[in-house]
Formats: sequence, structure tokens, C-alpha cells
Amino acid sequence: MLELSSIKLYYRTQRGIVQAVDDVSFTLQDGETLGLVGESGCGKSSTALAMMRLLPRNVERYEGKILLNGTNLMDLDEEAFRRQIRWQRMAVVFQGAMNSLNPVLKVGFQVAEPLIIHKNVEKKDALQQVKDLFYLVGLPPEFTERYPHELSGGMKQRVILSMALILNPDILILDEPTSALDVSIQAQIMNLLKRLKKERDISMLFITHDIALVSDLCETIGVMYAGQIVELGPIENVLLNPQHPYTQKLIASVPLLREERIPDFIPGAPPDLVNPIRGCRFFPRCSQGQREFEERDPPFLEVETGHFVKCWRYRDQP
Amino acid sequence: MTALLHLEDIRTYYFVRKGLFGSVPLKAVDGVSLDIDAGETVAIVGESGSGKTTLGRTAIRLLKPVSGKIVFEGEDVTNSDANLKTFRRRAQIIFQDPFTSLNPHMTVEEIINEPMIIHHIDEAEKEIRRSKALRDVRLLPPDEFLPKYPHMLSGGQRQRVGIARSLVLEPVFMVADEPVSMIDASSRVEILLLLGELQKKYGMGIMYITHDIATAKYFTQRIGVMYAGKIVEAGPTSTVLNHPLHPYTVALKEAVPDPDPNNRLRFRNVIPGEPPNPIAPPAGCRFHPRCPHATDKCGGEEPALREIARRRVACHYAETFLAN
Amino acid sequence: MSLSREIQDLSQALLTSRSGKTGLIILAIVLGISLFAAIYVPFDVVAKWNEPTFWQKNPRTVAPEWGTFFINKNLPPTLDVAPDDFNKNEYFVTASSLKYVTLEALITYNYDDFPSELAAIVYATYAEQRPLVTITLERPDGLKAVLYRDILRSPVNYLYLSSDRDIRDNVKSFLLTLGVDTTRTIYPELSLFAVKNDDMVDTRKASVLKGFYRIRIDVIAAAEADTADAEFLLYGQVYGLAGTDSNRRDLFIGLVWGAPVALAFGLSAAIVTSIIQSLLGAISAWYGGLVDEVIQRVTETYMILPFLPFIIMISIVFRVDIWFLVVIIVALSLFGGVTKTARSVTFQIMNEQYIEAAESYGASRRRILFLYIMPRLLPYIVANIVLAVPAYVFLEAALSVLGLGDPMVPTWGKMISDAYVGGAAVHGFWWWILLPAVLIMVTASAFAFIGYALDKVVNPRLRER
Repeated sequence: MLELSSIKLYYRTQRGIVQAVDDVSFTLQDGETLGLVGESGCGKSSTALAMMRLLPRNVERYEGKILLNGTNLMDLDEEAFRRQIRWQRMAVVFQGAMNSLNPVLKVGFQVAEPLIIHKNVEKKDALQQVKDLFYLVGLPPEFTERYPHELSGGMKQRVILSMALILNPDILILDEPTSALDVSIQAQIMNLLKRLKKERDISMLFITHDIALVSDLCETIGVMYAGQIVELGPIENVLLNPQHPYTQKLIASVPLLREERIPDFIPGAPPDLVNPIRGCRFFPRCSQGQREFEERDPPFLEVETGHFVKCWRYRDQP
Repeated sequence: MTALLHLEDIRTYYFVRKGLFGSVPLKAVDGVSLDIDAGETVAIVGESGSGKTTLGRTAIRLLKPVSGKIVFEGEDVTNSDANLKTFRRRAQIIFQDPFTSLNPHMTVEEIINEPMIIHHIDEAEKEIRRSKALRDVRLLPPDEFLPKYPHMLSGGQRQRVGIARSLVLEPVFMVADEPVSMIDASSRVEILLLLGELQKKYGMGIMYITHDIATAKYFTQRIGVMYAGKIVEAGPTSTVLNHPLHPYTVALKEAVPDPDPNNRLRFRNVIPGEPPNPIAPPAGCRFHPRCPHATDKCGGEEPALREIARRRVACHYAETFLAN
Repeated sequence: MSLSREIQDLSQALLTSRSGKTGLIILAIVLGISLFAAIYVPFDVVAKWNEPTFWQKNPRTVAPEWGTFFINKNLPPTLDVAPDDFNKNEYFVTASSLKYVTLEALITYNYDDFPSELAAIVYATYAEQRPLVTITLERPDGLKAVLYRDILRSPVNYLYLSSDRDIRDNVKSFLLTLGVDTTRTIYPELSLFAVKNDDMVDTRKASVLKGFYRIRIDVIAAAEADTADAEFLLYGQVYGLAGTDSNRRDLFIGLVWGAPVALAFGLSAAIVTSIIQSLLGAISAWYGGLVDEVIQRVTETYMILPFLPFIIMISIVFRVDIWFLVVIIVALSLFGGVTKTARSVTFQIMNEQYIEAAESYGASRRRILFLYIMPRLLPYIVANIVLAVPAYVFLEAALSVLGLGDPMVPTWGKMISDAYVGGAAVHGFWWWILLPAVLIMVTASAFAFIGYALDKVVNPRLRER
């Protein structure tokens, strides 16, 4: 239903041109949740921005194809995108979004606003829809009358979630929706997202740095490193049989609470995206690399059905 | 044997203005007793509002407790400024945010020099300690890093500089306040292993504050779980984490995700609600409004921290959970 | 302790943005003028500015030479026929024991307008008896006018041929011989150079007689050793690059000199007040408690008190020179709005973890203030200085216009003040007002451009990713 092809998003900065998203492609089926996992600077948040066309002023390059049920969103002009797509077909919940609630407006009104603006719904009816939605996300309906400072972090995040869902979008992008929350609140929100998934049958793109968290929600997982997707596939395959050395190490570096396994780490740091090297971007930190890997960018190979790896080690796969 | 650091019934309050003239106490830490010995790492685990950060700051007296005692190497340092200078040498702290804990105007060399300048260490000794500290944190070769500014380093490197800065005064006690929370997951363990190594090498006692109990499991010997300003469970790490007795510890453990695809199909057993407001904590057991096993007794009487099954728990019904 | 990172950020912001570059270029020009002033302008310009005799050879309130560009008339500049330009012939007649000295000079006059004034200077050396001097002007049409015939009164004689009554009477007689109506006021500089017709005395209708004029000065002296030299001045309608004022002062010198004064005044006041106010704001925030209360209340008091009336009172009571003025302004600006904003910025800085870290390894409060906090305030202080400079430049100008400034030093503000007093607006002496005003605005805008470029660094919300 949603197909991203060769998305590129580069920024112009004082240091040079940052290739934040460099040729990213994936598909999202109806009702599927795709987890996009990566560490700081890998480009996962920029991918979300690229999808929603929420671009900052210093964009150097923005290209690729975004097919939503056949229509290429990149062909739409700014006004058409705003009126038809943004928030109505695709909505996003950002990291720390709960801090961007308007402190002088009641939360009920803030959630109702997209309805009033985009769908011309009467304020009273809109508020009723908001109350129904609050019930869905686990907030008491009377909370529509509250101000943001009267709510806790977890409650605010639920308000933000309602705001994203109010126009009934087909796709919901969640960019680190729980990183600013405590572990127990995070668990509550994850339960809520699971319930949402079951009841609303909505497609989601779940972006996080926590590879343990993706298993809570996602059927498919994509691992990003240095602006590229290095592994993509069904979660069972990727988590239990990771193929890319980065994925392997990333999983290994999670300290397990319920099992005994001394966690691992990857020495070094991710590369600077201003002038990425020509070859495999993980090569400098990879323990399984060979010298020729750093000469050319590795291809995206299918190692089993639906499971792709961007790695030279599998070049001889059929 | 006297503990390296002995905290006795520490209460640290912040005073928040209320109305025109009054102020209300925000009871961040409300009666915590803890001992830390040389050579051991004690984890203090909790969520926001638990008071763990305040406890850490109090332990090295960046904050003054309103009551209670801090005894360091046998000397009372709670209120007097007399032995403060010595205390400041032998007890150090590592901060959470590698981006803001280093002065952006100073080079690595100047940053590491600062503590030594303040404590009047002579030039020759300064140079020796500088190189040693950088080598200890594995920023090699030291000369390459000394002239750099923090913005030229990665998060992990900056954190190492912060650790090096705290090593030059040769401390015997360190508070590590969420030292890896803002570091990429794939680099965390490296820093934690480094801390463990340094501890063994110098025999330090470390208070490791974190919200991530999984890291506590692998890198600490004892653990204290805090909730709403109090310790609810404390003991050897494996004991507490493998067989938690306090319902809050159980809930915390349940909430931690692990990379298992089966998680997608099941709901977690989560406790409802949020941590309480530190200005007005609930009566009795502070956890009782959220506890699935709460009874009337829990709302009326605050449970004491008592010794059960080789650890201390603050719960009226701890014995009943033992059976499971 | 290095501030290089902040300075780097600031310079980068300046050099890469358009407004920064514009501001720097303008500032460089003004600085260039200042340097030029140091070299070109006479060393004791302040003394000379107030010494009328220094400017005697300049015309009074005339426009700059390039003013003719707009008028399409070829206006005459000041022609100074120096003593060396005169052909000197001297001989002694023993029989009569008289020394005759003849000085002749040829002047080419092809301008479209008349000189503004005429003057002759006769330098005579004599033993005892003062010589007799006759000054004659021979026009291109052959007519000769005797302008002056009298005994010199001193070795150096400044003869204002345009205004001296006797000379005017001589010119009047000359005109009578031509049959011209002399009932109206006679302007020698007009009529002597006008085409011979009934309009020669009419200031509006007279037309210029172009051609070669000959000035002849005959001196009859008593002793052989006696001699004389002369200088003849046709004061022009234009002068120099900036014109002159009512005291014949070359405004170019005043303008050029005004540049370093404006910069020095503006910068010194801005730097001192910005630093002091920011330091006080930082101390207020960092030490808190009673110190904070006291500083804030004093600041508020300062901000309420009226600035200008105080300065007026002070300058009535004391004689104000320009550096004393700086001291007063600084004293009245020790506490101000910047104290409050620096305090806010310091609060933000105080919450950074590296401050807490410094406390943890035992740094004293004072050390943290000067080594950790103040450097972070630096971009903010610099931006403040830059934006305050034009304010102080304008302030000095305003005070001068009000008559409160230093009466001796030629600053741009003082020039505008003089222009106002000299009726420049009424009489149309546009250069006298316009040129200093433009320079003030240009200098102020240089700092505004620079401040705008620096804003990007100082204001983190404007920073790009």
C-alpha cells in the first residue's frame, strides 16, 4: 500500500552536505507495522520527515518515489499534499511531541482542530469525536477540558496519539513515541498501541533506537545505519537469524533481563554523513569485513523470502 | 568494617513556592539509608520522580539533605565545610549527558586540568595524571585528544573524557548518574565495562544510578530499587532481579522489553497509573494506589524496610510473594 | 582558557552572510576614513576647528564642488592667486627717493557664476614709512576699476574687497562712470565680473563676463629696501569635497575627523556598558539571593530614571568635554536592560551540567563565574555591543544638537547642531546637514548589519541544523 523507492534527503549545513537519508526503499502493506531501528544519526527520523514532507529550510536534495496506493506523492505540489495527504492519509507522532502541546489551549480543542479545519466539522461534533477517541486511547473523556500542564507525561502522549488519529489516517508514523517516558509508562503505551493495531487495523511505521522494543509491535523490521537500510525482513527472521553484522551486534548489545548473556558492544562510532565513504559504511567497525568491501556500496540482496541484507558477504547468494 | 559511604536516613527536599509567601517541600528523597563499600558497585534503580538522581547528588553533597547523615570514610560530611575540600577530591560524579557535561570552551586538556588546578596539583604531576587518565579511558593516543574541543568528539568519546576528568583526583568513590542513557545502545556496554575495569583497578565504590535495570544486572553487585523517594527493595543484584518480592520491582521487570518476536502477540502485565506527586505522596505505602495486591493495611501503615530472603523489602506482604 | 570557539562562530557568521559582509564593508570604509583622518587632518584639529583665522581663505557656506554636477552650471571654485603667481617688478627712483613695486597677475575666469567674495592680501615690508597701495582690476572688456587706494596700516593687510565700505564706494564710482544705476546695494564681486549692461548690479539678472582679468597692485614705498607681495582671493561658490560652513571651515575635515570620534565614542560607551551590565546580570543570577534582589532593584530604578534630563542637568552645571560625556553616559548606564537579559541567559547557562560538574570537583563560585559562565555570555555581549554602538552614536548626535555635547570637538552631531544654529535648513545649505547625517546613518547601519548577522549565532533558534 505504501511504497518508498530510493528516497534521498540531504541537508545543507555549515560543515557541508549531510546525506541523512541515502537511497532508502521499503514497502508497507495494509495493516502492517514496520519497525525502523537505528542509532543516533542513522537517518530514521529524517525518513519520517521525508515521508511527511516536513522539510527544514536547508534541504539540499529531496528525491525518490513515494507511492501511496499507486499515487506518487512526490508529484503532488505543496498545497495538494497538505490538503489531501498530510494528517489525513498519513500522520506522525514525534519524539517528545507531548512537549509541543499548546499550553494555553485545552487539549480537547487541540485534538479537535484538524477535524474542524480539514473536515469542516462543527466544534461540538468534533469534541464528541475527540471524546470517543480519548476512550480508545485510555483517557477519561472529561480530559478534553484539561490543559496540558494538568496532565502527566504518559497522558500527554496519549493526547498526541489522539491528535494523530483524529482524521483516521491510513498510516501512522511513530518516531520514538516512548523514549521520553518511564519504563512502566512505556509498557502502558505499548499495550495501547497493540490494542490500537488490533482494533483499528491501521498501518504503522514504528521508529526507535531500541531493538528490544520493536518486537512488541512490528511484523517487519528494517535496520538503518548511516542513512541506509542495511537489513529488512520479517521480524522473526531478522531477530532470530540476523544476517547483517551490524544487526547481529546490535541485538547482541542488548542486556537481557530474562536470560544470561553477557552483552556485546561495537567499538568506534557511526560515520560522519557529510562525506560518507564509497564502500560499505559499516566496514570500519565490522569484524567480518574484507578489504574489498570498502570500495563499493554493497547491493541489497534477498537472502531468503522477504529478507534483504545490504552486505557484500552474501554476494554469492542465488 | 566501616563502609566507604554511609548514608543514614537521608531526606532531601526541594522547596517549591506556593502562593505568595509560602513554600511546600518536594520530598525527593524521603528517608533512605544505604551503605556502599570500596570495590563494589551498587545500582540505584527507579523511574522519574523516584528520587534516584537527587540521592546521587546528595551522596556527594552537591545537594544538602534536610536531615540525615552522610558519613564518608568515617567522617561526617553532611553539613560541615571543613573537610569538604578533601571530600571533593575523593568523591566524584559522572554525569548523564555527554553533550552538556563538558565545558564547550575548553579543550580536553583544559577540562581534565581543571580539577587538578583547583586542588593545587603541580605541573609535573598534572601531566602524569592527565596521560594516565586518558589511557585509562582508552582515548589513545592521549596527545591526539588533548587539544580537541568537545564538539569534535563523538558522544562515547565525550563520556570518556568526563570519566577521565573524574579520575585525575584519584577518587575512591564515584557516583555514575545514568552514564550511558544518552549513548547509543551499541556503545553502552563498552563504557560500562570500562567503569568496571576502573573500579577493579582502583578499588573504588560506585553508585550506579539508572532506569535501565537490565544494565544493573550485568554490572553491579547490589541493587536498590527506589519509588517515590524511598527504597522499596534492596539486596544482591541477582537475588533481587531473579526473584523480586516487591510488587513494584516485579512490575518494573515485567515492563522491560526484550527482543522476542512473540511479544507482538501478547499484552504486558502493566501496572496502571503514574508515579505520585512528590509534594503529596500517598499515605501508607506509597505504591499502594497502583499495587494489584493492595489492602486497607497498605493505605494506612507505611511498611518498614525489613530483611527477608537475603534482601530488604518494604512491603507488608513480602512473605506471601516468597511462595511464588 | 580559550574563547576561540565562540569567536570562530561569530566570525564565520559575519563572513558568510550577506548582511555580515555588507556591515563589515561599510565598517571598513568608516575605519578607513578614520585612518585617513589620522594622516590627513591637522594634528590639533580641535584647536584649529575653533580658530577662525585658520579658515580665512575658504569661502563662507558654499556647497561641495561636486554639487555643480546636479546644477549644470560651472560654478567657480576658490581661486587663490598666490604671491608667487604675481609678476613682480620693482625699481627705485633715486631722484624722488621712491620705491615702486608693481605686482601683476592674470586670472582666467570662465565660470558661469560670480565669486562669492573678493579679498586681497598685501604683505609689505617697510622700514619706517608705510607704503601707498593701489589695486586695480582690468576686465576682459578693457574697463579698469580702481578698487583701493590707500596707505597700508600694517605689514599684513587683509583687504575684504567685497565688504569694505571704502572699497565699495570705489566700485560704486566706477559703476557711475559706466552710467549704471547705483541706488541699490552694490556687490563688488558681482558687478566687477558682470557683463557691462544695466543688469550689472542685479544679483539675479547679471551675467558673467568671461575672459582674462588682470589684477594690478601698485605699491609706492619710501625706502629702497621696502618691498611688497600680494595675494588675491576669488572666493568660489563651491569648495572641496564637502563644502564649508558659516565659519568658512572645510566640512570635509570635520566629517573625516568625525569618523574616529564617532567610532571611539560609540565603541567605548557600548563596550563598557555592555560588559558591565552583562557582568552584573551574571553575578545577579549566579550568586542569587540578596545579591540578586539588590542588583535587580537597582537596575529597575536605573531603568525608570529619565536619562536625558539628568544629562541636561549635568551639562548645565559642569563644562562637558567629550570624554567626560562618555563617563557620564557610562555612569548612567551601569545598570540597564542588558542586566536583566544577561541574567536570564545566565540562568539557562547555570543549569548546564558542566557547571554542576565544576561544583562537584570543587571549583569556587568565582572561578565558575569567570571561567565557565562569562565565556558563554560572550556572543551575547558582542551582539549587544554591536547593537549599542549606533545607539550611542545617535545619542552623541542628539546631545550635540541639543547643545549639550562638547562644544569644541567637531563631531558629526556637532556639525548638525551648527547647521541648525546657522540656519542651514532655512538658507538651503543642504550639504551642511545632509553629509553628517548620512555618515551617522551609514555608520549606524554598518553596526545594524553586523548585529543582524551575529544574531544568527547568538539566537539559537535561528541556527540551522
